[in-house]
Amino acid sequence: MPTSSAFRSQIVSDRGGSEYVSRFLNSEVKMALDRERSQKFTWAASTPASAMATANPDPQPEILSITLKAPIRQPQSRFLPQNEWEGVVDKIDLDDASFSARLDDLTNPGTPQEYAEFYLDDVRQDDRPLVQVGAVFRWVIGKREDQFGTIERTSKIVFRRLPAYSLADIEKANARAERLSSGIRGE
Amino acid sequence: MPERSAFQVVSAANKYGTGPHAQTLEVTLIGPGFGESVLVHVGDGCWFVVDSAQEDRSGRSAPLVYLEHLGIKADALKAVVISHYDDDHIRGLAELVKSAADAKVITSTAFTSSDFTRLVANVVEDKTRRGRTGADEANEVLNHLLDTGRGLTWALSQRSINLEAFQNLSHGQTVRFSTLTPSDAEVTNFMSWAASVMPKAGAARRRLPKRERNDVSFVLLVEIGPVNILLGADLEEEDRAETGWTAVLASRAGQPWPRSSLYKVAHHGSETGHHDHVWQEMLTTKPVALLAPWMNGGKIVPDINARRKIISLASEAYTTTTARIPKPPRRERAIEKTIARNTKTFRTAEPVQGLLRARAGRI
Repeated sequence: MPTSSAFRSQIVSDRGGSEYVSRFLNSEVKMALDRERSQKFTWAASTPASAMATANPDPQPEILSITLKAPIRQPQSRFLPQNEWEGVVDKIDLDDASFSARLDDLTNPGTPQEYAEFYLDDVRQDDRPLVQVGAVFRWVIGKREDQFGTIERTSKIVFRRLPAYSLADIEKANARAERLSSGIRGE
Repeated sequence: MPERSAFQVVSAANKYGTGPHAQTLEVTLIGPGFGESVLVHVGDGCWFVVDSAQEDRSGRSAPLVYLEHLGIKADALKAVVISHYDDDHIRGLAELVKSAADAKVITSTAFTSSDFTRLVANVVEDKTRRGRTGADEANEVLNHLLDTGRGLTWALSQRSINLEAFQNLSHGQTVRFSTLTPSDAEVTNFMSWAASVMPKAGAARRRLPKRERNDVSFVLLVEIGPVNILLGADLEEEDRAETGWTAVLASRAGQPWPRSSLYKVAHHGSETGHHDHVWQEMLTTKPVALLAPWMNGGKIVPDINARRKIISLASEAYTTTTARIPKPPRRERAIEKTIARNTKTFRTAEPVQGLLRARAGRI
């Protein structure tokens, strides 16, 4: 019986280097075999790797069925932020589908304030109603490394859903304001 | 032949040397950076300051830092003028007002209006904010005035303000200090804006949007014997009878203006800050013009046309800094590439600060 590692390496070559399938099977097939020992798994796992490669260079349907039966798990990846800003929307240009914002560099405090224009397309659909003058967002640039070690540079704009003003907060502020406006004398 | 200005620009560098002689007038303009500020030496070590700017390096009030460089204490400031509420004119203001403890504080009635104080208090109360803003400066100044019982002197259209410290100076000249604005309509406009952006219960929190119009920005005319100075603040023209330069020009009711030989160009030298009749009626034929440019993202004020116009109208025109947007600080190359790929434009928002100093010899 071939070892699971031989099986995996064969799939990699059959799929023309599709690392996603190979890694998926790497963990999932082994786990499923250990746990269930079903007929299909046994067959797939016991098929000689060399036979699969010569008989049909394309992936075997049985193998696909294994992936479907196996527990579904999202591919693991990690995001490493490299630079983060807090932005405040300054202007919105609907004709150009863009907005401009003032940015404070949170990664390098003390950096002079920066100013950028972004396309609205780069804002998640869910966040677009939040794009208003004065709205606050985080802009994060970083590296996304997937489970195969592939590194991709990414940029994310996430609008903050700040708590609404409460009546109590406003009343407290207004009381302070009243003391100021009535207490300061002028001539 | 054009009338020669009494002023000569003597320094545009950051080595300040010594302070002015007792009988020498000085007008120093600092900006842009975070703010714009004008310091004026009237005589005998008595100064006043219009607005505040934040010094680039220390974050302190730039006019105070300048005076310290000259070895002058803050008590030399006899008046602190808050020309209008705008982030780029009031940074460092709280430190300035508190340090100049005996100075008169001159501002418009809008500064203590209930609409404005409510707006400021609500912004400051918002604990989701980061960093210090113009609202924090205003709040600190207002609380200081309340706690100390220090009163305000209102700037009104065509008001002459008596500043005792500027009388009986050794140069023997009479000093007249007048505010030419704001008009009632400007004050009303400002308060309407404050009410329109006032936080409301249940509404999502947002940062206070920048006021696009410079309502209540007031112009100062300082007459020191034969020498007059016009400080244009951020006044803009809207071609409306009740606001801007049109309102100022009409307020004299046909009387000729004392002509100024030094002009702090209004609103950073923008097209909207310009009015032909200011140059024709309020200034000498060829005055010295000083301006601090304004930059926001990719926009620079004054643009090339406005610059040409000012140069053609002044005998000498100076700017505190070059009209150039500085590049953002260097970052790791991969980060810079990602920034470039994901933005339409990306710039440093804060321009390099500069200083201009004009002095008029013994008067």
